[in-house]
Amino acid sequence: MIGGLLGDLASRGAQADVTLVDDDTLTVSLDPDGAASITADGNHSVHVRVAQHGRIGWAAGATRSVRDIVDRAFASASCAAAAPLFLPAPAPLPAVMTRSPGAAALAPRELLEDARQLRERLRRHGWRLETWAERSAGAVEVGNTRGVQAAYDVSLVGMGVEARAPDGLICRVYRSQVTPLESQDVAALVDEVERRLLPPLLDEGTVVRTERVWFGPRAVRALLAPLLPRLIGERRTGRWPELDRRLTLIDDPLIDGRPGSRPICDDGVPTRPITLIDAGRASDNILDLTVASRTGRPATGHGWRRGFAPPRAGFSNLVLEAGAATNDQLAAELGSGLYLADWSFGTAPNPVTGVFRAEAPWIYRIEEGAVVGRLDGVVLTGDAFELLGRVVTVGSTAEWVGSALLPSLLVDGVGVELRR
Amino acid sequence: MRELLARALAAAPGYVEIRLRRRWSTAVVFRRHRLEVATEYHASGGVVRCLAPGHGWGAVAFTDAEQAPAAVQRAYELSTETRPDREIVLAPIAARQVERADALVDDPRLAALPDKRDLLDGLTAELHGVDRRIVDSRTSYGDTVMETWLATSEGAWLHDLRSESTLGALAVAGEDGGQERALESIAVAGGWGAFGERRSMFRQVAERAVARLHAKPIVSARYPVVFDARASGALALQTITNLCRAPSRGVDRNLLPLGQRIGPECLSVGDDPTAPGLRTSLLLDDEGTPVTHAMVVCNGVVVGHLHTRETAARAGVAPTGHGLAPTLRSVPVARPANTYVAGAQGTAAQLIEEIPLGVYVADVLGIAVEGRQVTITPAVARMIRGGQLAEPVKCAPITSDLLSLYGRLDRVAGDFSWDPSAATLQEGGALRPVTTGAPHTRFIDLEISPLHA
Repeated sequence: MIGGLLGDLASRGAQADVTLVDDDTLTVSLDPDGAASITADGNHSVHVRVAQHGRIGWAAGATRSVRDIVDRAFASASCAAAAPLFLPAPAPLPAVMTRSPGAAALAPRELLEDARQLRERLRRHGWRLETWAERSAGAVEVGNTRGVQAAYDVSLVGMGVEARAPDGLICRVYRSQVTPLESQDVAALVDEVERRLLPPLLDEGTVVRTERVWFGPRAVRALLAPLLPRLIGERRTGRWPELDRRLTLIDDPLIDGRPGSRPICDDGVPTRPITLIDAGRASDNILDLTVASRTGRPATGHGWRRGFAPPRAGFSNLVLEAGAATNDQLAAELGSGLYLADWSFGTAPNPVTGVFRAEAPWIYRIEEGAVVGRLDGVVLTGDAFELLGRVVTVGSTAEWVGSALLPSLLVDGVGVELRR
Repeated sequence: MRELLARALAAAPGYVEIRLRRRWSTAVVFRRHRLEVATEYHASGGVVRCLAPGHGWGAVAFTDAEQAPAAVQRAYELSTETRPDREIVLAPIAARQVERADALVDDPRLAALPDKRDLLDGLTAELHGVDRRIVDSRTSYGDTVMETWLATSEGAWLHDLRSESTLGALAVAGEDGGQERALESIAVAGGWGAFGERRSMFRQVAERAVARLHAKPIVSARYPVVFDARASGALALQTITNLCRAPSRGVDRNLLPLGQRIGPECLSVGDDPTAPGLRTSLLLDDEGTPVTHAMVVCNGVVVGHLHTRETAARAGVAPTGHGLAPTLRSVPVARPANTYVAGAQGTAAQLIEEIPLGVYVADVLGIAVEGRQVTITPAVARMIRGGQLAEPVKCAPITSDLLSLYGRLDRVAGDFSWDPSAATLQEGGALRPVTTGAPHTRFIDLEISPLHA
């Protein structure tokens, strides 16, 4: 289909590129009262970008209305300002595994069984549980009027649980990957929920101070969040923060079987790993074709054009290089301190300045290397950029958090407020 | 369409519900003076839900109306695959048939894309013309026409056509290495002709960003805090109505129990999808239930929850007509439409004049609720000195336990208004428009911590 569509676009005298996405998703969920539901969603979308008379326009929609989408893309171009667009030429694609036949074939009954297993293994604690399992399978086709035409199949399997603690806090954990999840993945989810919810609540009274904090991999994902916008698009002027020299961040789309893996980006550029932060210093930024064309630099293979969103640059799989310290060594180095299992900046992150003030419901007191309880009512404050310059130790065990592979970090000088 | 959907309904036994939507949208976005987006979309999507007797839900999302009969059959098959531990019961409703798809008075589809681009171009220039310290901006125009068909095997029918238009502005001011932001939006039912004069909105956003450049952080202490109508409405939406939504499948939040006192006598909160003239008002919800004005808190006490048919049956109450789907292709869950804090007595000036030293919060950037902990991130803040509004200040997020927060509510003014901003409520990554309304409110003794440790 994509060949015919590109031929039509070329015959109208336009440079153009197209992304077609087919996706069939099956989701099963078991609610806390034991009711089950199964949802199927088949989505087929097309994203068309045209450049005509030096103006770029785009439109998106369902594949059944391709002609309408093409007309809208030309209409969009007709009212755009002049801008360059340098389409890539065909090039060999790297090899990466993006689909598992076993995952694509998972049936409702098997997914229900997975969700039930997960629920049964956590049921003994008496928590209210919602479990779900999901698989999606489909294909992505990209092409342009310079001759790029490529396709790859995709699959993704996910499983997750929401468990509500007696104090009302809801613990949400999930796993996703290209291949079917195994029993050890279920065990890991069960283990994580138990580690988060079983420790007793501690009452430490009112505390306001700075402390050394052990950021677990999920919390490291939040700590990196204010930095990531600085790594997309044109390099901004201004001072790059003083990050610890042990921090090296890579974007790697060529890791087999991960959610962000792919051989070619939606702009038709072959993907490759790039180093974003090298020993604490800014290295390369990711660039999609729009920004690359405007700035006269090569696109890095990070174009995304999904749904109805405009063409944009986005990360694939983020990998923060692991260090040498085992979890036991991290605990020993922390001594008595705080472990942050999961975290977010809430509703108003400030990536411009890095300054934050955010609740930390999943923070634990550790004494002599062991968790003694969870703290309620903790608020963390600080500057994310400064904290990434105060890393004491980088853990050796990296874990996948969605499409990011992250180790633990031991960080000094975190503002901790505890008010009871 | 009606015949096609009737045929599809007959394709499976048990309860069947079909919802199909067509959406025509325009999006124009400028980053500074550069046009980033100018395009139109036409999306079509629907969902079939089927409840085979003795089984759980089977649901199938689809794209075109012709796929509806096959989607019903597949949804029935999926339903029969489930073996729930408990029977799913739907509370009974009166099957109403509503046809409200007259031609739109001010149809935004009839305005040309270049005209919409030119409108936003002019407003963006207005924003940048305010001050040389405006270093960045993101401005947006959007319009949507939505046509909905809903049919159920119990005889409910809805055919609805509506439109709305939005404008948004984010201004970034910079000086001496520091940057500050301000934002504003408006959403109106109808086409772009309903905007009226909006240049002042774009100028004010720029002025607010510049004013923040030299605002000093509030000295950490406990203060009385007056929230403006927009902030009060947003707070009620996130911390009260959102916690009074009966949990549906896929969502298990902390429901505020009926009978619990959460605030003083002056606090009453409801959700009224029947409110006239608002872009989020409805006649039937996405399950075909006639919508009702539901009170969730009366005189400080939780008196009701928002329900779908399934959650209402589970609770043994009547459905409230709040079964709303966040996206074209998703199934309904209990969601608010027009949430409000009822007005009480007095004016904003009266709330402020009694405060020797306090803080005035206008609008919020965000409100997060984790368990019973609430974090409010103010958008704009000013000191109150000697009963008067004084200098702009930077205010750190205010964190408090939910009950402790409303325990400190001491006055609700009578200056109620619906907020025209383009507010949305997020759930599972999907955003659905919502309207809030409130008067000014005053809380005593809220702790404001330092901005940065």
